[in-house]
Amino acid sequence: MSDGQHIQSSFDRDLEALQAMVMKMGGLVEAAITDGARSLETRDEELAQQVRDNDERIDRLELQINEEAARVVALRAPLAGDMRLVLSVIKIATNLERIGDYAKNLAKRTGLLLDLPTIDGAPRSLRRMAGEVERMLHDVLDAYIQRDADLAREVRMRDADVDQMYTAIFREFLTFMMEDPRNITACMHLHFIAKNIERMGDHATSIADQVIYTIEGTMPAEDRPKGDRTSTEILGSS
Amino acid sequence: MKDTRHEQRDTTMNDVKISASGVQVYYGDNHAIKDVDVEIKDKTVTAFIGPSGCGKSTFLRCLNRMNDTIDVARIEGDIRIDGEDIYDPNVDPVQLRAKVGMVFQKPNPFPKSIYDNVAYGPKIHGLARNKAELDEIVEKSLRRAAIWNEVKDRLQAAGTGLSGGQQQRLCIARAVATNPEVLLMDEPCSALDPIATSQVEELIDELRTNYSVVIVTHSMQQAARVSQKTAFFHLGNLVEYGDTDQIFTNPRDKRTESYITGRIG
Amino acid sequence: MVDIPDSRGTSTSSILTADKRTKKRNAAEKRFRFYGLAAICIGLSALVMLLASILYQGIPAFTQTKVTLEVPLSADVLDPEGNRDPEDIAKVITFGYAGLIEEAVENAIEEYGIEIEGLDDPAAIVSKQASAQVRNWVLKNPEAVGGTQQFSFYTTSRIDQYYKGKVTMASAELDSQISIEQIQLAEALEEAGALERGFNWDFIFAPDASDQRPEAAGLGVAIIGSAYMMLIVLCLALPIGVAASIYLEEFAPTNRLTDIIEVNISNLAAVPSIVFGILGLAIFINFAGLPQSAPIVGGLVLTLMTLPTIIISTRAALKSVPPSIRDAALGVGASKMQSVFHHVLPLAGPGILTGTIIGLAQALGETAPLLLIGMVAFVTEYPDAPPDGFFDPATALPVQVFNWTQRADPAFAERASGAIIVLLVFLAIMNITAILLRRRFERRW
Repeated sequence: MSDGQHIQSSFDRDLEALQAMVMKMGGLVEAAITDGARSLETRDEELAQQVRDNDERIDRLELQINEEAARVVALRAPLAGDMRLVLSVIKIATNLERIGDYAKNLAKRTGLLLDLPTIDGAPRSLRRMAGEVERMLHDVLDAYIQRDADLAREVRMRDADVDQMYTAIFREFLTFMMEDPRNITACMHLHFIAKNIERMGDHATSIADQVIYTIEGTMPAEDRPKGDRTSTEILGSS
Repeated sequence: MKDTRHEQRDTTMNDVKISASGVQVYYGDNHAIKDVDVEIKDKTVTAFIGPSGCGKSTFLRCLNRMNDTIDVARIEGDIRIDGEDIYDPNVDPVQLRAKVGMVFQKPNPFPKSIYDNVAYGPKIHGLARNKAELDEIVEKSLRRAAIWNEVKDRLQAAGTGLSGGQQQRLCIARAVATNPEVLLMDEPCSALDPIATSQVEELIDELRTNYSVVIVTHSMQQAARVSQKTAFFHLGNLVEYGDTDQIFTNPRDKRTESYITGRIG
Repeated sequence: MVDIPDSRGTSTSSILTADKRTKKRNAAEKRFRFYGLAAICIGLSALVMLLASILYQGIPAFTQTKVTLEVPLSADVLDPEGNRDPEDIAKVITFGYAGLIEEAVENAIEEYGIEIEGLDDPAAIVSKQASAQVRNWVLKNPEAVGGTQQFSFYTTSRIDQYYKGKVTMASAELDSQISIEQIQLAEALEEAGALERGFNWDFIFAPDASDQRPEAAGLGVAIIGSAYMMLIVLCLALPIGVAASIYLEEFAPTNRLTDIIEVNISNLAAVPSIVFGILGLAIFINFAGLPQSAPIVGGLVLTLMTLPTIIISTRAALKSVPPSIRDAALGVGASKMQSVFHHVLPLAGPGILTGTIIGLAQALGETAPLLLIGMVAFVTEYPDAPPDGFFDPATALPVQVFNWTQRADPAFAERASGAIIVLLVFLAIMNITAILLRRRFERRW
């Protein structure tokens, strides 16, 4: 990205507006993750409902961002850094929308879990995991707005931690289910929640990739460490 | 549409057609081109972009020695076409210009018939032995310039009576009629409407199969659309030269980025 | 943003009412248009006055009063030897024929039964040219001596002027060259059908005549002299001028020397024409030894004078050819010379031609330098056909005008105006040709 203002200041205003919308969307999504996880832990049906309702705003915002980005492409024909910025805005908005969907799903299952037996410690673990993802998202959006590729790179690395947490929770749920088959329904739901949070981490990583592309013009190579072993190893059969 | 992406972007296979090194141009006291090194590949469209007065047209005109007609212009350095120094004292610029054709900013057909416009170059270079051969060259050139179907019934009509886009394609036909190896185009579409521009751009892309095309343009979009290689000139310097897609998605130099994204400074 | 104070001084401005500034501006514009119109009117009225006075004075020069007489070619006078030998006949000088003319007039008076009291020297109504006219005819037809022959003679200029209204009975009374009785005789002859007024081709084709016989003076030699000079100017000035301008415009390097040449060519165009005359006298006549009064010298002097005009207009025409045409020619590999001769010159052609014709027209009307090289001479013999004719004495149209205006007889004033009309007709023809050529060949690009 080069510094300096455009000769047409309205172009600058358009690009700033786009990024402001992304930041607003990011804030809503962060809140959705935090609130969703808290509603799960505190079994707060009302908060869960609020998260579910808020998702509509996120979806609307994504539509708006796409429309605005299309308008900028059509009218401004952005090139080089500007073009990368607009492209990344579209992709980041898509990622954020997916994260928002996962948060909504989490809130949905929270309502369901109220009627099921409690699994000790699981909501707390999930909340810790969600907290980690929320921080990743927060940091990556910071990196975006401050054009800080190093921070984005660091966020990419942190996805491994989330994966590891997921692997640990996966193992835990297996144990619970083997102990008492009545836990299976609750554990399945909790596992989906864990999987969704892990997916959120993946989307945050994807956003980090976009941030790096926007700043440097090249996508980072696929060399980050993976911590999710559930799809490659047979776990818990010990 | 067939997928031509690969052949379009793969330019490393082609040989170097024109190589320039250490080129300096002075207009009197004005140092117009400062130490430019560039290698232009065969069968490739190379675009020169840059702000007005950056020297891109000047450099283009060095390639067929059109600057010779300006008394105060002085050129230093080495420009070779197929390894031959074009500023060698033994080189006749007239012969060079038959090899390196040129198309100008404003369509400038001679105020003669369409036929005579195209036939003029072959006539003065003695490329045709008789009328039949000349007719053939004219037809071939007009076909190559994708204007044959529009003018075949009125070859004796005045070239100046055509529309702007047709005139420019007629000028391209005139330039290819002498069978050049390199085609220089100095902002060939700046006086044309978008439709005519598209036609000329399509033509430039077709010409690439036979010629090495160098085009100076003010339109970044045009450079992006027609060229495989792009060179960015700024204040007489060649700032950046590389594959067009790289220049337009991720330029390496800050000045290039500022210029193509329309930023101050 | 800087706040610009409202210059109109009113905050509410309606476009339906013109404000003060606009009114002032419009008034100024209206005034200026009026000035322009007035200037054009003054110019036009001056032109109209000039043309009207010249036409009023000059048109009568194209008609002439002639009297038809039967001249007895008596053998006693014309061929005293009686052997009809042309050489002997030629020995009788013009003066000897005067008696025959007198006899012819008296015969006519008798024949038509004209009786005028106090008529003295009736033959004075016939031009002095008549004797020469009869003699020339007799020398050509010696076998006619002894018979009678009908001739159409000019009347003297006084009779002619009487018919043109410039001589009246009152003025004739005071005039030594004409008497009232002679005018009465002319009227009587007119009644009898022997005297009539008709178009005078001789004014255009005949050579000049002496002071005493303005009625016989013509423009023939002057027109031929002018035509020869124009031919010389065209053949010399056009190729030299065009070659010089092509070199200067297309080939010459821009340096001090060419700058000096350019400035000097422009200055040359402003040099008074008389200076060229002195130059011609010094170089062509005194130094090179060319004959005086000859069209060759006049042509050379006029060539020198016309060259700057042709060079300047040719260069302007070459400059007006868009540089894109030169680029196009060079771009397809034409050499500099090919680009000039195949493309630039044909496009500049109409402009060059117009400039040349205007230069020629200017040369045609030039008087001063010709006076100095002796073209003001009195020449009554036609020059030969070119190229020998270029060295024979001749005059030129404007010089003839100058010449005639200096002569005493008022009939020459009328002739001078007539000559101006002829000159103007030639100039008009040349300018119209220039306009037509430009229209015909001018090309758009």
